[in-house]
Amino acid sequence: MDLILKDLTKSYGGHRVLDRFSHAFPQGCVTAIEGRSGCGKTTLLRLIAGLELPDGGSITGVPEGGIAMMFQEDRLPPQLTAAGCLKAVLKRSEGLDAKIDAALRILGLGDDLDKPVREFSGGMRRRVALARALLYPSNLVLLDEPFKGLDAATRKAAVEFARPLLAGRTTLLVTHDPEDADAFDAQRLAMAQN
Amino acid sequence: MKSIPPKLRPFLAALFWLAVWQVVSLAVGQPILLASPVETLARLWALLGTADFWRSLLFTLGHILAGFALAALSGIALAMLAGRFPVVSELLSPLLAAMRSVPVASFVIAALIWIPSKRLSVLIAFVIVLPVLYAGTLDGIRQIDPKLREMARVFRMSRWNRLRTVDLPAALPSVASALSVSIGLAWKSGVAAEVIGIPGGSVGEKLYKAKVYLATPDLFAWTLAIVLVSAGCAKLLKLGLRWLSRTLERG
Repeated sequence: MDLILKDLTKSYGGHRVLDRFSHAFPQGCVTAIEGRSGCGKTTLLRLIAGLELPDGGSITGVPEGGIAMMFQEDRLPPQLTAAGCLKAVLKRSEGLDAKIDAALRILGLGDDLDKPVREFSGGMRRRVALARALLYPSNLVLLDEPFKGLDAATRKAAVEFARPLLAGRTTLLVTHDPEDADAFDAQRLAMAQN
Repeated sequence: MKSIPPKLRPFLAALFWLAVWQVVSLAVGQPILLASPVETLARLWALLGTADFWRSLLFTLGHILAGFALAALSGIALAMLAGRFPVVSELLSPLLAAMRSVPVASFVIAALIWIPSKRLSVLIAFVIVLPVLYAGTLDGIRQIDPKLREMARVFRMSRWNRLRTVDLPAALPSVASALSVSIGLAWKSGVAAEVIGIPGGSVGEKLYKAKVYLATPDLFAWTLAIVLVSAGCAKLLKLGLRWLSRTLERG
């Protein structure tokens, strides 16, 4: 089922961020959402995630049972290890520990598995947040600037890690980097400032 | 002073004041006015061998801990409600402000009209501790990062996982601080209530009798026993909270 936004309107204190915004995100595809800061990209994700209510319009096609989301900030419980952050949101299952361990190693965090994430650098925390969103079993994935602050090599590894995990999942990828759309063979949606 | 190991310094400081106490009591020369540390310890040693000492201590310990535990549960539960529903916070605010400012003696005298003196220390420890724990827990709840709460909501984290990984680690330092302060308050107010209400077989009764019979070494020995048991309770509580904190760290 496509994710369909129809006439979506949202204002903050008299400033209209989204004005009758409509778009259909095709099921199972990655869509790169581009646009200048303040044009409503993050607001769009927050509305889809149900964190805010629109002033008008409708959203249909959001799957039942949770959404995988990577926020603009990392939003990791600081006292937990990287694996702890992932386990906190993932349902216990056979082989989960090994799956988490492998994911963190691929993302270059293998040497820091025992450290709480408060001791991590910004880029390391970003990778943990990415792993959490990608391993979370949802057909809808919302990624808000997932590769922000990563150096070229780390970014490449993160993209390689993400690509197979996003296959077949409806993904909205907010980005300022045109390369991201190419890396995921994504459709492009350019949002204009209101 | 710099050459003294830091761990040894508190003991040396305590030893210094014990020496001052001993010298002053020797100078006064009348145990009825000021019992010396040696006399106090000797009296405590003698009391330790009597069943009545242990009965009284257990009576007061049980009552004060019951009041403390009830206040802890109620204070934390009320703060959780107030954190969720602002109307609860507004409603409780004048009541708790009154509880904080009314003198312990007024509570004790009023309570003596309502309940038997045997239960007095439970009620007084409860009344004194409740506002402290309520305020500490509410402050802790306000430390919880709303962004982490949003994350928990999006990922449909279970209530238990949210409590364990998001809410408790943020709120615990403030709650722990309130608990540590209030265990001492529970002892001070509970024993003071017993001294006024004089329930039979309590530590308060023993202190009262020591005053009536001018048995100053008894007064000091019982006081030392209260201080030691109160400090023991505080230490156990601290260890428990440290264990909880470490468990939460491990996720």
